[in-house]
Amino acid sequence: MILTSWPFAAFVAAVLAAYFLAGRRGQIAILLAASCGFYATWSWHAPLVLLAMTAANHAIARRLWERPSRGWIPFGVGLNVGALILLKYVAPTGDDATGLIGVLLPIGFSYRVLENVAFLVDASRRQLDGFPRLLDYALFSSYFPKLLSGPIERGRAFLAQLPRGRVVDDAALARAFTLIAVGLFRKLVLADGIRGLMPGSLFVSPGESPGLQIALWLLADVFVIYNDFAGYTSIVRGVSALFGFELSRNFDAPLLARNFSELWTRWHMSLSFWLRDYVYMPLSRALLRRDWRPDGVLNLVLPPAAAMFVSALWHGIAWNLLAWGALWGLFLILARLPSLFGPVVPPDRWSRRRQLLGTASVWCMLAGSTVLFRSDLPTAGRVFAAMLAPGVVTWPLVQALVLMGISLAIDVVQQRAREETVFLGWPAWARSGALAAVLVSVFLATRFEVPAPFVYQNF
Amino acid sequence: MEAATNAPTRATLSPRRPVGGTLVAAVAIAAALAAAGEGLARTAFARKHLPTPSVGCGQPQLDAKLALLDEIARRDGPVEGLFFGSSMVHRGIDPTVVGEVVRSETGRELRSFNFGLNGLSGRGEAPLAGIVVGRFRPRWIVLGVSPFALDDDRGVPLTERLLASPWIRQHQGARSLDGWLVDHSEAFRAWLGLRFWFLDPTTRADRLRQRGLMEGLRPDGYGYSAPAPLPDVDEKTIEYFSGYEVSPAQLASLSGTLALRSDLPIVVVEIPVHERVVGRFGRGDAAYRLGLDAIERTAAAAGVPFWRYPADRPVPADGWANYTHMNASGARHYSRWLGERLGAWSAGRDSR
Repeated sequence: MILTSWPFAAFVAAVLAAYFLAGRRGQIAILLAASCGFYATWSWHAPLVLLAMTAANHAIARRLWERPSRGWIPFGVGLNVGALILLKYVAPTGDDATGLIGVLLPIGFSYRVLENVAFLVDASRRQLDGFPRLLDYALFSSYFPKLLSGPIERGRAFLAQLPRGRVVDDAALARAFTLIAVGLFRKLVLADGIRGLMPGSLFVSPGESPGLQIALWLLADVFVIYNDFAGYTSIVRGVSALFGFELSRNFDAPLLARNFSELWTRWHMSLSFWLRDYVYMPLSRALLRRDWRPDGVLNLVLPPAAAMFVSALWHGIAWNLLAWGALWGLFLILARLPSLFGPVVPPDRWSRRRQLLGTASVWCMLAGSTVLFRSDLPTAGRVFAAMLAPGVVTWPLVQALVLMGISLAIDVVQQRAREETVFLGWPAWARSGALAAVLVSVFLATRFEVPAPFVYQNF
Repeated sequence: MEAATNAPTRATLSPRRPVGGTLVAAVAIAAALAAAGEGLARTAFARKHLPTPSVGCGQPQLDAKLALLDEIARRDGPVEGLFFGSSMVHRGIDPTVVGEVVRSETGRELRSFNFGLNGLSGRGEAPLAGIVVGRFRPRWIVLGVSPFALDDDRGVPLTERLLASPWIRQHQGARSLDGWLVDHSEAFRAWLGLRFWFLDPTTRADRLRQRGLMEGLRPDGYGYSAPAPLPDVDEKTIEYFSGYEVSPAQLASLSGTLALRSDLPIVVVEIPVHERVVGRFGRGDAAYRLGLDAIERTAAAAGVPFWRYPADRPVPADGWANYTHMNASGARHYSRWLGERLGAWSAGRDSR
């Protein structure tokens, strides 16, 4: 069931009706059943695999909570990572028997694995507000708005919402529908619109769009990925808000970042913060325990490199993705380099010109690295080579630049107010006009078209 | 041990004020914009200044011919007859010449339109003809066919686009909002036209090719093409045509189109090809004649006359744009013959 489809809207409406009519225990059970049903629309066995992993992780986490033991963490992490490697990477390439096992891979499993690992670690550190019941943990694990592509939630943050009174009042409803409307606009109008304008040969025969053209198309691809994923996240956060649950933000105007360090805290934030908390910081602390200086070269290089290596592996085991991760690691390291030589001035205190140059440099890094994200190494080489040839700006590229401008304008408005749903504070006529524009543009964008699948559903 | 304080509480839905005001206002604004757009799209100003409205099949030649027929119907009333078929009809039948001949032979005015489309095959012809006949209510149609146009590999891209289009599917019973909008909303068709020329993701090369299909398009639908020297028939051409075969599926589709005879009179006519390639068709000269025989049998089974092009009136040597398409000179020659036959046929019908 696609998130941008009428069947999904009908499904949410039906679940909402049952949810608010039910009692306390009934609400959890209804959400859990609905989540399993939603998952089953992608593959019938997916809920079974998910529930089996949920039960296993809950049991291991309970063991860690009650009697912390060093051996159980590696076992638990190994179980999750091993299941992911087996189902996603080993089984599909094997013979008929192993291929059959690979069919068991539920969509979004990579996200579940990160959530499970985080939960196990938090349980071992007793960083939970009490150990959850299996039913509550199963809901966290299977909660349908975040099933497909996250956000990667922390058990402690989600489960802490269960005992709280969740009142869905008019303000919450307005906020929820605003998030959904913004998400639909980003995905269906901006992401699909720009993607539709991109030459199909960009990552196949890059020589057909040489020079400046290809560089701008690569930047356009960054906007596609951003609006696609940010649109998805906005929709699922809005849907979740209808049930009274707050899901984490994934993006905070990342294309307005002024250096790569700042980008990392604004792009796919739930993954970045997971990497920070479970790879970067533990490695950094381990280095400090060995008396390495916090501002030393090793501490500068190893933690970001390790974090980006894990990120690359999470996206997929392929040489181009490893190269992409290495490049991002290098960018992070370079961004932190100035700290070796003294106190660093935060970007907010930079001159306007320096901030703009910083943003432009981030765009160049993103556009360059997106080649590795999208294509294999030989093709990436051809794309980079094509950039050296002369080229012209075409009409579809101009249209893509207009859509990219609209995307940036939304980001600027949201960032200035430091609020995604800033539009709710506009005068009534402006709110209604903006929503009318969204409705008309989404309607026209989806005529005669089948919306493209969300990019991050592939991971 | 699970903490009792972690027991979930119940979520409640309790809006303090009515919700949805912004949404209602937005829907009202959107509806007002749609109504204004619909009104504007129906004005002469919009028709003059906006790109040709589209039915969403990605074939601007089809859109252009529909728009021309709409204009004719608005200005002078519906046309009397339609010439239907592939690019061989588009370039081979000149309605103006046909009309001149009919007028000189019978004294009657004949208003007709050339609805030949580049790349139209039998499978696409049947549903499209039904829609066009239903919309423009001609009094007769002439189907121009040739064994060269009944090969399964001809016109695949347009056929697939037509059969997949919501507009065609709407008329085949697979109703959809998109199909309904194409049929009933001029603003929506205008939007589709704008989208094709300005927003469509097709490559520049494809868009240029589409423009090329409409070169020389006249108000009566005829596709003018100037004379050009023909190259010698080379090995590549021989091999290209030798693979042709009249397909049973295409003949069945032709039957489907001929089923329209229950609504209006239909005539099937042979569109000639250059004599040099007649013998190259399929497995030789006999294959071409056998193809014509198959067409004649199909027409006879539907109770529709089939007019073969007479061998004693060959299209002049300078009357060809290429080996399967006439140019303006050849179309004039052929259309005179067609005009004579149509004049006699319509006189015979009128006298009954």
